[in-house]
Amino acid sequence: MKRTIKIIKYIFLILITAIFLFPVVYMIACSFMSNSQVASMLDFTNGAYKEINLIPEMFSLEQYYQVFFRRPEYLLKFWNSVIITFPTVIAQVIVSALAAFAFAKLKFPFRDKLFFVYIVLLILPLQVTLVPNYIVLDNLELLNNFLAIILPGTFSAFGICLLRQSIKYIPESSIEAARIDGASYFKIFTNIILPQIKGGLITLTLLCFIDNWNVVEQPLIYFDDEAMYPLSIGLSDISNSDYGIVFACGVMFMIPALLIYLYGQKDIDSPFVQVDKN
Amino acid sequence: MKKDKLKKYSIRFGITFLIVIAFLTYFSGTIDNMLLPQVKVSDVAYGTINGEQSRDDRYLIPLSAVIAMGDTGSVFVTKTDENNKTTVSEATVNIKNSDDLYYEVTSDEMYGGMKVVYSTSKSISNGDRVYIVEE
Repeated sequence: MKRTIKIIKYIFLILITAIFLFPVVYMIACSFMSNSQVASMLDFTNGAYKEINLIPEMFSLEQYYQVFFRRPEYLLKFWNSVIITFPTVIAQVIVSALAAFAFAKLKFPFRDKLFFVYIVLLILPLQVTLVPNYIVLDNLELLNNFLAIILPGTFSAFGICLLRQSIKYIPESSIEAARIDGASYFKIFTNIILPQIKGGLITLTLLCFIDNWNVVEQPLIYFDDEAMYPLSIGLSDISNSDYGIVFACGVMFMIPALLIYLYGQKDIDSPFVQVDKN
Repeated sequence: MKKDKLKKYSIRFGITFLIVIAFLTYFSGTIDNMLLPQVKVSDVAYGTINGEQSRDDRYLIPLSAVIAMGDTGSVFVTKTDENNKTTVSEATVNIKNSDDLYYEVTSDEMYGGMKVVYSTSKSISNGDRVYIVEE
């Protein structure tokens, strides 16, 4: 009986995994198909796809050849994504860690009230802040500039809330001991806090990376020049794109996010306290 | 140990991936042009072979530019867009006269100042992108 339940559990888990992995597998499979096969498969004229096939009729690298050698605009869009994402992630992690340290361990007037305001900001949907941000960026003459996405992304309330929770787990006594030994707050931050919230920092890096890597709304609103659009918009604009190329671009677009996940995979298991797993 | 290996390979693969993409992006224009059919073009000129006036617009086109089939034929004319990318489109022509160098043709799809392809490094078809070789 136990064995049967175990088998049923495994079948259920395999099915769930297959459902979640299907879009990725389908994208990879389609990227190796010829353009004509992809176009005939995704013929949407009668309101339904003609077929879903995971096996190419003829294995073809044509889509990758097109993306890497014949259609440089997709590579340029990839770099736009990099330009938007990497500075935002680095800046957001630095700013969030410093602010979270202040909110968690330093004592100053209205600290908790100010943090409450941050929580309120966290609850606000992105779309609510788009128009005020647009007006501010317009006044700062930052529209049609990558800073229009990097700057608002840097001061994210989410990162501060996440890291504050991580820092709160660090015992007060270790900070007091360091203060007695004459360590400055900056020294405490770099030598005591940061090493202990490594999991939280990697979690934030990963989440922030995914958030900015997949950005769609902000570039559409803040940029007039389509040459500045990141690849996420090129992929979402599938109706105007070549289907086969979109799949190859999708694979290219997935690789950095996947690598960052693989890099931090073990550390994000424990975002709140650094646990020695050895 | 396994964890460190995964991290090490992720970083190495990530850096390699970015370098390859950077290389391809930087040289994409060059690679793209190298892979395109290289064509030589000539201006479409108004005129007749014997120099007489004609009621309809007549053009003089090099012999090698026309794929002739009896009294009709086709030529590839080039079109350059705002991104400086050139494509070819096929135009039908009616052959009226010829000599050792030129066909005298009429066509509704042509006008003076157009450029016709008279030599190509690879076979081309309607809508193909090409690279114009300067002479």
